Amino acid sequence: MASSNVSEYLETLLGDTQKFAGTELKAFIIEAKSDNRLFIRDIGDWTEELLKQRALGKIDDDEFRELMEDTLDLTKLQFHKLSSDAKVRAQRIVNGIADLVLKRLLALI
Amino acid sequence: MRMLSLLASLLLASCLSWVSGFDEVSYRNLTDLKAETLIRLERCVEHKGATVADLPSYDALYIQTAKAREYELGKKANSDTAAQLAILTGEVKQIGDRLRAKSSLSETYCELKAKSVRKAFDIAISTEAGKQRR
Repeated sequence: MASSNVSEYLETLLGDTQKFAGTELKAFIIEAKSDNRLFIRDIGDWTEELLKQRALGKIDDDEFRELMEDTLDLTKLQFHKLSSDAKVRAQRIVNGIADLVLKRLLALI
Repeated sequence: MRMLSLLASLLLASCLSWVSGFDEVSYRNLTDLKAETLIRLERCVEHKGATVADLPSYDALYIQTAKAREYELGKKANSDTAAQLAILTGEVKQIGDRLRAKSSLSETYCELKAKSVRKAFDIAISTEAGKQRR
């Protein structure tokens, strides 16, 4: 199971000394991985993958930090995508009202 | 009455422009930069890492990305895409900065960075693709 993997990676990284932070992080990852939105699930999977690579010693602390900061960047990029998509939808409605209602319909009645 | 409504509709449509339309140049910049960044990082994985000899290619990539960012900054009603390009420029710059500071990039770092950069560019590309064609 995914949760046991996260526990294993955190145990390797933290040992017995920081159980509290480990428990919170584990809960956060499990919650993200079970979210119904694909983007959030991806973030959870990706965070787990980075923890795994750090626990295995494949990347150092500095590399881990940079890659986790990139993960934060992904959420910022997604925020701007949602913002842009919403503006596009609103723009389409405004253009529709201007063209179909104000211009064409009112020209006929 | 008709003239008035026509004028009102034209005024409304021209004043309320919240987001720039789909731009072929922006889309091509993003897809080109994604491909070039991934090729460099995949080459790093194939060669089991990168050395300072590879630095000019990463610096060139950073310059290209910064140029694309400047292009986006010059467009009206384009704050979201401009912000995305600023983020992507920062991520690409980090690769060269790391190589300069450490004199090498590890195979695993390149592999993970490639996955991360792919996700980042995909979000920006889909943002541009979602804009209205005019």
